[in-house]
Amino acid sequence: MPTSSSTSSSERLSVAVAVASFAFVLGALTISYELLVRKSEARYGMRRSNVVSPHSSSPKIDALVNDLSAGVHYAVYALGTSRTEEGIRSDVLDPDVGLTYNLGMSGSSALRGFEVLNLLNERPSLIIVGVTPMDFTITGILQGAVGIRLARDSIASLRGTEREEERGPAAAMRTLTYATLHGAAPRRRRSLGQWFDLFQMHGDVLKFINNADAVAKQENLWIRGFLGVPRVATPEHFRELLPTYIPGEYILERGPLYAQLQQAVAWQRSRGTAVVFVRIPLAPVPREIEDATGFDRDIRQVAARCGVRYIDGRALVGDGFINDRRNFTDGGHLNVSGATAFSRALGAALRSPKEAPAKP
Amino acid sequence: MWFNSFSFLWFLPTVLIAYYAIPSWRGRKIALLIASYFFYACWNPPFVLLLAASSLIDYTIGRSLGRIESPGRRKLLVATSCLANFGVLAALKYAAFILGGFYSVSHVIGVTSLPPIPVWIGRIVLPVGISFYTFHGVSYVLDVYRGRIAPKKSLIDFMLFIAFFPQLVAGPILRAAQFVPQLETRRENDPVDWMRGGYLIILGLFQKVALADNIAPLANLVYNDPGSFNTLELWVGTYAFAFQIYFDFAGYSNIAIGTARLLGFSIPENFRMPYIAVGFRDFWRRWHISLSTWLRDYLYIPLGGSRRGTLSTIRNLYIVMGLGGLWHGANWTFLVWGLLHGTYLAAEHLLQPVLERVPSAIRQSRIAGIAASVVTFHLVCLAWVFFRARSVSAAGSMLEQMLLPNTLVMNFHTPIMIYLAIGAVAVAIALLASGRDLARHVPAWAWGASAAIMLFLTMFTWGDANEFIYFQF
Repeated sequence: MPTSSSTSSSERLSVAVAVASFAFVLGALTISYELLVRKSEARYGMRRSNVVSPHSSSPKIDALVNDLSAGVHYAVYALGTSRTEEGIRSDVLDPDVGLTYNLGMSGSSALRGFEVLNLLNERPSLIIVGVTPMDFTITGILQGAVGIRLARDSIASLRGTEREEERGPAAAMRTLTYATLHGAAPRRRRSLGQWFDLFQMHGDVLKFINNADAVAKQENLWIRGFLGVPRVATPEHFRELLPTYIPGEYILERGPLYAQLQQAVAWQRSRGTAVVFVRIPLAPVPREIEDATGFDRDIRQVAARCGVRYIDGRALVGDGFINDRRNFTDGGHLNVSGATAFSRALGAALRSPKEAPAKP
Repeated sequence: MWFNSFSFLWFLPTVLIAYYAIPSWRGRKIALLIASYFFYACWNPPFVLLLAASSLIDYTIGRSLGRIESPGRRKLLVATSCLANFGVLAALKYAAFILGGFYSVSHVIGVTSLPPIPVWIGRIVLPVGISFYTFHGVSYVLDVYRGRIAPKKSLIDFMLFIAFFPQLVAGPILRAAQFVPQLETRRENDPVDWMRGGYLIILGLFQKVALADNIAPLANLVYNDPGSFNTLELWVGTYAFAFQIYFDFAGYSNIAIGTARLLGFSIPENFRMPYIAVGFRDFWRRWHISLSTWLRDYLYIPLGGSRRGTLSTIRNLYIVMGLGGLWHGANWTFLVWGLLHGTYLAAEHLLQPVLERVPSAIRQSRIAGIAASVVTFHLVCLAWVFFRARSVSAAGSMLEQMLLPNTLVMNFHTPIMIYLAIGAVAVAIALLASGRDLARHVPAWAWGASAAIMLFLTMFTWGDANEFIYFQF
């Protein structure tokens, strides 16, 4: 800023130019942004819509924590890796088992999902564990630590933002500001990090203004934690099981992690929560690779020891489904159409009278 | 009442309208005094009495110092002021800490029969801004004692000096010699003053809301659970905290300076791009300038400064920085932070003769300057670990992890690039705001446009809405 305190005519001119440029730029930015906000509200409504497609577990956990703080509790949680996240469609399960949230997190062991539920102190009526060998590897546990951190951070930040409401003139000022500038209201304001996510992930601005979690590519469908990917597997990808190192790690590391699973399940059941293990359908070649590790046998034995039901997705949907690559994005993950069909079958199976727990 | 709140959004315009509507200068000062006490009462009304009592004591002692000539009685008056001001501060801020330390030492030497520390001691509420206005009062009494300023006759002027709301709760720490003379004559603003004040307020809000609050989640993430982060992540979290606290405090100071400017008053700057400092003496000439100069003038120099040899200088540096650390709060972490800075300053003092032997062409080269800045910044960051960590042992574990690298893989979801971008923007702004030579070359339209962009981002972005960090001190 100019430092002289005496006001010459040139300084007066400078001030006039600065004020004019300030008013022009602020007006242009504010009006443009407000128009965008009004457009978003016209399309998606004032309230947060379910139009999001998060790229990672952060918005997923943030969204869940927000729902819980708003008093929305879920009857059913699906835990597991990306196979669960992309394979169990929350809205399709709703009519059969109750309001469902998919807490599957890419690369993260289902055991970490149990920890997140404990952190949130949630007591659902049913937990669906989408079991894969990755759940029983150190890689899955380490990658899942990020989810735990995010849950802690999300809970802490939610508590930290509680602020004493202004009263009197301050409250009137707040109401006036938010009525004039919708974009300045807390439900519309976005942090710089969220804007960065949006542009990095090529999200849709209007959806993002409506819902802060709508930051990722919009061809994907996101419904309460379920990530619906429309891509269809190429013949090459249909035969792939990624990451390739997981079967080897599973064979070496499964023992203690199965013990942890048994403890987690026993704890949930002692609180009155039913648990079911579900193996999401795989393409034939990846399934053979996984079965060669002894996973199918292992998981049946653990289910029996835990006294919980085990549902093999392949048996639910049949060979026709698993041989059709149009249901998959790659050998290990269902696409949105495969997930929809599988979730319908899973819902029906869960609704039907319970079978006896799996036998070893 | 936070500067970044709707309460302040109506308070400031109301005060400005009322202030400029009053024709007489005395009336304006009374209005400002009432506004300042109202501002302070918004936190906890009863503490207004403490503020008033502290002001009355220092005013009375100042007046007495003007009348009394006996050296012994004058010293007694100064001691009374120090005892009253620092006694209240010690009782409210440090009682639990001092008692806890006493009990720990007693336990170590085998005395275990002490009664338990009363529960109420842990429940003492610390009045907001007490560390700041205590220093105002003491500096006034010491300046009158030393004859640097004449005792203030007007009680209203004196109470306004102590309670002037822009700087009351988190500084900058005012000196009577800087502020009181401004109360003698009617303050008038010209358009440039209005523009400068408005710009500083917008800059301060931008630094707080758009920068500090957006960086805070990353620092909080790491410091809330440091055990689950690796070396690189801990460093990134520490860089984040370094910039968070800078933008938070510099933002507050800029709003305070800008608000005072709108009222026609001048408050000295508190920050001057501290992270480009080329050494620790330089750092403390740039960081929280009002505190470091207060400690220099009222503690370091009276202790002997650097005039009595190396050992005495080092002792003085440790005393001043240790007390400076404790000024921030009654916690061992602040003490260690201060002592660490004392160590840095002592090391710099000892290395000075060695550095002076380096040819000036090398010493004054741009590369040497950049290297010195980088080293200084990283050592400052290491000290911030103590300042931010929950305990000294937690800080120790973090430092071990930071200095003995295990992995350099970054697992943050947090988009790190955004913080780098924030850093780049912040450096540009700091250069514009502080570099006066550079500022003269910036056209007027650019000032207006940059203020508009900053205000827009302040209104429409969101961070972790925290109160200013320095409110707690």
